[in-house]
Amino acid sequence: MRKINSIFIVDDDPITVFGINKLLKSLVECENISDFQNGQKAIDYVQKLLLENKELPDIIFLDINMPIMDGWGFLEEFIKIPTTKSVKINIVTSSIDQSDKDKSESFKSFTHHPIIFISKPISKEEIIEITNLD
Amino acid sequence: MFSNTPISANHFLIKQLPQATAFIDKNFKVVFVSDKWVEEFNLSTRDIINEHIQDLVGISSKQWENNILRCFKGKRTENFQENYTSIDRETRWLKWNILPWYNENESVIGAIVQAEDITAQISKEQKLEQVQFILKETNEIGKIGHWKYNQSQDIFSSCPMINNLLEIEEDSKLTLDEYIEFYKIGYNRNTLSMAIFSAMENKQSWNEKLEVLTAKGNQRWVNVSGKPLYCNGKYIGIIGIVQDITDYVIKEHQTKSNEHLLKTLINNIPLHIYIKDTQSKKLLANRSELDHCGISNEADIIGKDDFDIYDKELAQKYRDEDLEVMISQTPMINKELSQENSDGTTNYFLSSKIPLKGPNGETTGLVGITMDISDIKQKEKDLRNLIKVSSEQNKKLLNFAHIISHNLRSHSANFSMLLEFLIEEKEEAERQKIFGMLTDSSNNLMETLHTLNDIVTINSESTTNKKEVYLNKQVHKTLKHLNPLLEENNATVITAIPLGTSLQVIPSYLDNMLIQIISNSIKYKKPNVRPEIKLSLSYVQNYTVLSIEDNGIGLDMKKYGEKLFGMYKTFHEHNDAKGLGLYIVKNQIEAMNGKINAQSQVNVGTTINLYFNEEN
Repeated sequence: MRKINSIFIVDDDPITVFGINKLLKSLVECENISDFQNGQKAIDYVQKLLLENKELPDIIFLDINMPIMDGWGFLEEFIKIPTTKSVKINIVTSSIDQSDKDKSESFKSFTHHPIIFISKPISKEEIIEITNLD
Repeated sequence: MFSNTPISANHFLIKQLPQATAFIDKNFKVVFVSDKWVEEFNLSTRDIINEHIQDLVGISSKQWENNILRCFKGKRTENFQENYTSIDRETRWLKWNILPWYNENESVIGAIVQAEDITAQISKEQKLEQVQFILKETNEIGKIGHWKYNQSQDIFSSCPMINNLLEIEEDSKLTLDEYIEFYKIGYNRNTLSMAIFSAMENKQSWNEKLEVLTAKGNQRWVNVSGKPLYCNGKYIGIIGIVQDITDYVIKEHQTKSNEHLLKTLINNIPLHIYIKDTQSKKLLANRSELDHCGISNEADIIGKDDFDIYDKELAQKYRDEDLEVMISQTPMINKELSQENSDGTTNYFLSSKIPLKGPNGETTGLVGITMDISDIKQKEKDLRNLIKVSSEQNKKLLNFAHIISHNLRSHSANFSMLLEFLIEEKEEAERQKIFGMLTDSSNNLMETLHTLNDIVTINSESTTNKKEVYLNKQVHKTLKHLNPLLEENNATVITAIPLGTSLQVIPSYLDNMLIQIISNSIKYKKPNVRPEIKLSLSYVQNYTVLSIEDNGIGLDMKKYGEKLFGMYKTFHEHNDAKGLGLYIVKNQIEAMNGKINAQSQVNVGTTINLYFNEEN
């Protein structure tokens, strides 16, 4: 089983969090899978990691519609963080709105982090692809 | 030789002949002439006898010479006419009669030449011919014919022109009665009969414009005049002159009907039309223009200029325009102008001025056409508003559609994922957990559908269901309903709404909006601070504004202002928060043609303003 250090799941829907968790556990070996109910909580934790000089996660699963700080708000904050590490950001959403897809495309040009757009439900194959870090 | 001729004896006889006569010998030399000849050819100052006749009178026509030569041979010749230009260059017509001159022995010794000046006669003949020609042409061109009625003999005669007009054979003979019958029965025939009778009785001339019906059944208009006819001062009957004026009358009718059509058009077209002379004085104004100028009679505007109608400044502006158009001879087309009315409204016009030119290209005035576009302007404004409203509605609908699709999709995505897990899951405890999640998901879906249905109902509710509601009464009712919640939180509610304030609302919406906003104030109260909620009333433009102010935790409007009334937007970590309350409130106030906004400051409080539209 492939080993991954740290994965974030940022989503306010417990079922989605449960689902991603379950798929990950069946496919990869990861000690630190953390989930956050909104963007604010996730970015707060990232800031804490930076302060403590700890490593950023390898993969982030990010929902768009969340209270307090949504996925876009999180992305805006996250790409400002000075780091050389490349974090795989997966926007996982039930939105099929073209403007959301376009918005995720436009974020790509502002950051070195790879960003991909995935429609819910997320499949086993997509998780395999995402976790295939090189 | 001369003295030997028998002529000499008759010398005096010849001299006195009443006609211009010359006797010549076979060498064309004059032997003798009558005094008349001398006079005719103006030879009194010259030697005549023994002169060559042609030299003498300057005649050189071939026919004349041939006739002389024939006479010398003893042959008779026909008289003939010839024009002749005398030595003093006067042209005359002469009739020549040339005869052989015999002596006693019946042998030809020369010719007797007689000349008769027929210039006056020829000239009369030519004149007559000319007059006849002119008459014929005039009659043909002018379609004029005549008839004569000899009363004593009861004979009616008409010229071919008349017969043509009546479409009968050219040589047909009519009686007077038959002729009269061609006139249309009634007014026409009576008028002609009366006129003819009057001419016979009173010897009066007359002139009438009448209608005839031809033999072929065509209608013709004629101008017929008659006058008594006299012969050597004695009355003998009547002569009638008839002119076919059908074409003229038809054209006249056409012109009249065109004129009528034009007048009807000008007076009923919804444009102001006027004609001004070079002094900008009105020569014509149609009904719209009269209405516009507030004048009821066209006669009252003729000869007036804009200074008589408008204030000085405006009139000067119009006069300047007139001058520019007339001097440059260039039309001014669709210039937009506005005119303020005494009641404060503004009318908008499109004004055109077109120069009028005389036959020599000089400006004679202008024709003005003004269109009132105030209604169009108003409609344009209404249309813009409508477009704005519908594009907002459209945006709202699209947004709503996205929300629905998002929500339904997120549930179906969960179902799909959970079911997949269930298929592969062997562990019973885990299976139960997944079943539990499926049930929750299903319940959530049902709730979502109910909510969406509620929102659709709000948006489709007609504003005609509005009722008058006393605001204080409704607030009181809501507070009573919320009492347990208020007491539990030690909340104070201050209502500063003037007594008797009433609003046109859908009562259930007002109730829900108050419950939602006041309970939000409680929900987002500051910990350890007693909630204070204040309701107050103000008026902004056409709206009655109900403001609900609290001392709660407030909200960062910069961050969340746009999303505050959005669907499924929550801004605090609160388990009850679903992000629907204010979204529904917004939909309800908008369904009543009102609007909503908010002011908020973190740690100070929030004010929600409900704008009630009292107009409709």
